[in-house]
Amino acid sequence: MREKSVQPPDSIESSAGQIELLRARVERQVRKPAIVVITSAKQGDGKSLTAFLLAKSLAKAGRRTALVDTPHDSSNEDAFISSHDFRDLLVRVQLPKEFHSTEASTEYLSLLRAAYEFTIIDSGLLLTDTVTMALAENAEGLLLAVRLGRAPSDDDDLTIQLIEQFDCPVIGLIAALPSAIDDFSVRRDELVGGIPRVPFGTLRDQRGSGNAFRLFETIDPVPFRSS
Amino acid sequence: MEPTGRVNIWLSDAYETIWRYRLLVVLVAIGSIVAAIPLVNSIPREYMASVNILGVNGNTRDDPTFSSPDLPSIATSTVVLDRVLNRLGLDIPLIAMKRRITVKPPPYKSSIMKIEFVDSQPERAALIANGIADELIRYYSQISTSRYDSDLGALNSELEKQRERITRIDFQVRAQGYIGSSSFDDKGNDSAPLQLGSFETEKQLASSVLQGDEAHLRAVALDSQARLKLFRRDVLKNDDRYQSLQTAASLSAAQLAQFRAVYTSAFPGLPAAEFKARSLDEAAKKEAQRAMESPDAYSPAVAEAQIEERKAGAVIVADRAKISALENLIAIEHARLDAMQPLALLQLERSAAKAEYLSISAHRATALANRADALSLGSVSVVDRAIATEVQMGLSRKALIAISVLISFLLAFAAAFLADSFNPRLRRLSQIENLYGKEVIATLGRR
Repeated sequence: MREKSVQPPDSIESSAGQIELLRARVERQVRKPAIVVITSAKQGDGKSLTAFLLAKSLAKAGRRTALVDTPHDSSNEDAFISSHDFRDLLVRVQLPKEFHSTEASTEYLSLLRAAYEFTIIDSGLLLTDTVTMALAENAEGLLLAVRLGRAPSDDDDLTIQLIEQFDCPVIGLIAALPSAIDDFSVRRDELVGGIPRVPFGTLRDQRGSGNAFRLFETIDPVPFRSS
Repeated sequence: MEPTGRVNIWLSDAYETIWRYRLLVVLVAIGSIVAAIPLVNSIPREYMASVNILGVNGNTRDDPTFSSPDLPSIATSTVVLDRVLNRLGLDIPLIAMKRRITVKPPPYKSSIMKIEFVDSQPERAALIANGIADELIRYYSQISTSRYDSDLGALNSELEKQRERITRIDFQVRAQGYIGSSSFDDKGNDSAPLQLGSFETEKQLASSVLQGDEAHLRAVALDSQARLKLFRRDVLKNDDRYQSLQTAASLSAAQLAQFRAVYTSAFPGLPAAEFKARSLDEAAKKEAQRAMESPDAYSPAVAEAQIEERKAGAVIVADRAKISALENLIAIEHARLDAMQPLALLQLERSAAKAEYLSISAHRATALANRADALSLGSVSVVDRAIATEVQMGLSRKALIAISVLISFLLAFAAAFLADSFNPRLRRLSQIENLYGKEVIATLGRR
């Protein structure tokens, strides 16, 4: 099943150079296979934008990458896993509800590490989401998105305290401009929705069969960008 | 992040801050420019006029009394400036005038000194600069000969006095009809005033001696009471009867006093003792009176005092006689002087006045020579007079406005950054990094 490629808005595409820098930094700083958690202190700071752009950049660079949207962050219907195969393609996989359990999530992270070089998790808020906290503890890297122009708050201080308390492996901060975040929010379904969806159960079944990548060979590749 | 990247981010932040507060920047810039224009217009225009002075000096810099380096101080002196103000009829405070003058001393091996004056009117600047130069020249001439001028003034005054004195004497001689006559009696008459003075002095000395002798007489002369006491003491002391009666009376009085102290008034022996004491006392008094009235009564002390008194009186008489003799001599000399011819006296006085006149004339000639010498040592003259110029000093009005505009924009930018510093929002990457203590590794979206 091949779907039509979607061109991101200019406000996002214009920061391609910064995305490349970010990808290079992530690749240099974390050891593969890596789980990279994108989180923030407040809602709307650009987590999804960062996760999407980083995952896309890694995929374009030929890295086996999964983009995970945690179920807590949105409704179950929107929860998905996007991944790509060796030919620079992305697919989406439905995430199971038991991902809420931290024990289960740890197990799933092992599955993801076995299947992908990079798993980019668009997580919830570190301060309020226990799953995100568990992910941050077990991840190879943590990226903190901050929306430029917003007022600082106590949430920032508490988030910093949590990161220091649990010794999270922070790679760095991502400053996101409001225009890019807003444009991405408006066109999120359009940008992400075109990626083929794959049930997470299939991944687990495939792991049980000992062929982690068999799943992707059965799916029609969809080019992310026609250019 | 690379340093270049940091600089770019910093510049980008600055640009963004200015753009964010663009309205404030525009308002502050316009306000500053609007405020600056009248300020620039209110700055008074100033024009400079300069005049060159040639100062030639005998020994120039080596002259210890007056040299070229002194000229700037003289040019800016209160005396010179005050004269300039009076001469030109200007109403400028001296302090303000001093501030506007710049006097550049002659450079090394040069004698040209420059006087510059700054004023809001070019014509007045030139007028004052030239005025200062002219007054400097006058004042220089004045002070360089002032030492001799005061001497000459005093000598001239004295010469005039002597001239008047001679004229007066000549007039007196002419009035007596002796003018032109050489008959001058020189028979020692000129010694009369000298002898008169000697006698006067001697008389004053004699008067002083007389005063001293009179004081001595007053000191040795005894008054009557003292003399009587001294006489009674010496007479009674040498009278044996009186001495025995006095002793008995004293003993009787002592016994009576003892009775009164020991017994009451009823003591039977008391009346007899009282009678005895009284009788002896009266007998002693009668004896004393008799001894004093006796023709043989004699007191050596009183006799000695009388001799001293007579001696002092004799000295005073002698002093008075001497004074009287001197007064006679003085009277004689006065009579001699009065008898002298008036022409001789006038001739004497005229000779003295003429000698004094000649002496003063010689001194004056010396002072005149010294003054001429001082004048020949140096001179100050104007070699290039100041002219009015339209060239304004300092920055032109256009340049000032351009600077004002530049400063206005700087103020406007500063206002933007100031306003941004009070804005708590996370506008810059540095703010985010400071908040989290981590590095921003990417910025997503277009600024």
